[in-house]
Amino acid sequence: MSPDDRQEVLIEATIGAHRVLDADGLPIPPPEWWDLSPEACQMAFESRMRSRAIERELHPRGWSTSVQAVMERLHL
Amino acid sequence: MSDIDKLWTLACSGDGQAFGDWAGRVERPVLLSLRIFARAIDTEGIVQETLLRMWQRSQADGPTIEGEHASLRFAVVMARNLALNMARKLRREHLVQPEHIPVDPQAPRTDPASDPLLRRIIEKCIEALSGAAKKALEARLLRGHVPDAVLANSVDMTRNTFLQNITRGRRQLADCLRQNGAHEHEAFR
Repeated sequence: MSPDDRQEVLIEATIGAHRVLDADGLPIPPPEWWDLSPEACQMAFESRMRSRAIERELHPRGWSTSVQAVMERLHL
Repeated sequence: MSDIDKLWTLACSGDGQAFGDWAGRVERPVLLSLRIFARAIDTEGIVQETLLRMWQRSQADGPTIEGEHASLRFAVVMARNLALNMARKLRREHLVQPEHIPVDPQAPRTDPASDPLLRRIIEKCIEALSGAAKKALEARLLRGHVPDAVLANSVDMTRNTFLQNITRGRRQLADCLRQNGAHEHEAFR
């Protein structure tokens, strides 16, 4: 795997909406997030934004996976 | 009263589905308002925490926030405060890009309503993806709130192969959206 491919996979690992919660109940970033440079964090943000737009279009009620994660946490 | 305000009022009366619909409409402007923090913190966690706290507020205080899109404005301010606190906690404030702060952070852009044409193009492009990339990307786009290890297992892949296939799928999807003139749609800006 080339360094670019490796970075792409690291970024992809941070784009999903699943987050583990810390002891205070706050979402913590996936382990791969800590390996990203600030520039790669920016790329992940832009990619996540595009992904959420697609997810909203695909969901019958317009809920992205971030919204689905929150609804699950709230048991709604 | 705007659609967002109507959904917020319903959410305040305990309607969980209306809250989900409200969250679906405000998520994008909330996320956009966090772009200045993108290099410093994991904005996904902040978006989720903001939405969760907005539900708690809706149940504790009812519809006490007044004015057009007031709930959205409130959520944006809450998100920015949470983000700033997180950047300080991680000692990464130096990575916040204040030059990107909107002139009026109180006036976020509202989310465009769903676009049936865009949806059809997205569905067509996903349908055209090749085998493993299609399986992986579909799983992530539809159930991305589930841990990757679980999703990978559901499509008979290791987590690393699953992630590689998603990146391949995203590239193919982006090419297809571009070919169909959908890559510059407002939803992607």
